[in-house]
Amino acid sequence: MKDENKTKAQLTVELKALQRRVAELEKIEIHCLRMEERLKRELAERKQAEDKLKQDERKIRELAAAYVRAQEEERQWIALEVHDRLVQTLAAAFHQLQAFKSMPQAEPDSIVREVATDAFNLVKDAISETRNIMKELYPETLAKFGLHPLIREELQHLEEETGFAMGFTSNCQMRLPKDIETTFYRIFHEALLNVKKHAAGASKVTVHLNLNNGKAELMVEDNGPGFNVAAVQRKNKGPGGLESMLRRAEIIGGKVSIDSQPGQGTRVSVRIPLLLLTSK
Amino acid sequence: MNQPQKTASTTAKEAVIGVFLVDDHQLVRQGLRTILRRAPGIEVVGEASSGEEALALVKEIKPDVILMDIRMDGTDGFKSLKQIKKVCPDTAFIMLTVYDSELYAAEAIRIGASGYITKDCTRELLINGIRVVSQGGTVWQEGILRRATRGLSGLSEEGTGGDLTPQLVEQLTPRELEILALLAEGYGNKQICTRLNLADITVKKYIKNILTKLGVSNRTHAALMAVRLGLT
Repeated sequence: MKDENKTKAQLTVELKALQRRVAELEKIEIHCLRMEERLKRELAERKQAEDKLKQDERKIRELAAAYVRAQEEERQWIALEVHDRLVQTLAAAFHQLQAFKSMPQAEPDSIVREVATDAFNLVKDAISETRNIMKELYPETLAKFGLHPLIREELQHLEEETGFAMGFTSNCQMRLPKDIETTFYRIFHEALLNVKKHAAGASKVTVHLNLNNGKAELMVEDNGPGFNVAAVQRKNKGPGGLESMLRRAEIIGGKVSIDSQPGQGTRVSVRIPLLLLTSK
Repeated sequence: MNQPQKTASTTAKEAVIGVFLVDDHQLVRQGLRTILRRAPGIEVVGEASSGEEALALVKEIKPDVILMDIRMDGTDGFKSLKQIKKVCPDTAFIMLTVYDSELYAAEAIRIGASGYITKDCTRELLINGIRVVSQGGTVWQEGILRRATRGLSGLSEEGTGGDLTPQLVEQLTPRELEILALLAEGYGNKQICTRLNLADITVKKYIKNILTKLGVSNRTHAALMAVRLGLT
């Protein structure tokens, strides 16, 4: 009898111990399951991060390639402009002047004057074209005077050329950093060129240049007939075109949009945060 | 708006006008000499290829008229003009430049030049221009005076009240903007050092520059300015 009881008591103890053990094991199992879940989640997150990294790397490579391509296109443009506008004119002037070499002593004054005048006019043209090309390549006065005077100047020129009314508003009390100034200028300049090309029927062009909450914003709007944005962008070639100007803004962290509908005018707007320009 | 200028040689109208050339291209100076050589009553009394060189030479020579290029290697023609004007207050200046820019012309007016001529001008304009400014007059390449001084129609003067040109003309560099933003958020120097991984001296130097560029005397004002300007 005693042995049985003893065994029974023992068994109960052992049973309890086993039950405790089972409970512990169950806890461990739950813990392991949770760990497994967490690991799975972490793996998924890590894979996501890796994918994003790969995507970013790809994007950087694409941007770099686009940048190099844009540079080459610019150079091509310069070569073409110089060829069309400069070299031809100078060559013509050269030929005129060559005439003097073989001119007989007794050539009548009037002919001499005519040749000289032609050469003179050709060289004058060449100088003027050189200036234009220089200005297209780099706006010399931007670094010295900043955006505001340049915007005004070009709006005034456009006004004289087209008769459109011009407006310019700005809450900007300070000059923007160099990169933003240059990018804004190029976009403004291209937008104005587009106004000339596509905005017959417009009567007003307004430019807004503002600085709010650490973001610099430029808007160029006209009340012209509008255009099909997609169609034009496909056609656009040349040193920049609005398309690549806008891409530039994106490279330095800006957000860009061209809103235009046939019949509803056009608005080009760019917003660039000031602080993305800094490197860590 | 003509201000009569006393020239060193105003005793008689036959007095020779002494002209000094400042241009970094030797060919240009040579060309000018050639044009002016046969102009009666005008003599080239010296030349320089930079603002500094000009400043040193004109002290001795004291020309009546200086033909000054705007953009020379390492020299800003406008800055030079201001410096030389201090030592030669009676000299008349003509900006002689390739740039047909009304902004440059406006600057020329502002700092007291007597004229603005582009390098593709006729020799008559150049020679008569020299004569006119030596007598106290002014000479401006065709059209540029009008363009430099006109206003814009429909100009909305929001924000800066009048002239749209911003008052703060010194640009902040990207690094300075970054530090200013941190300042405006209340960061102290040590925190900025840690955050941007810069030495204490460096941060102090940046802050000093920022205060100067913003025209304020302490960090609190700078922080307020930053908010007011819309920088943060």
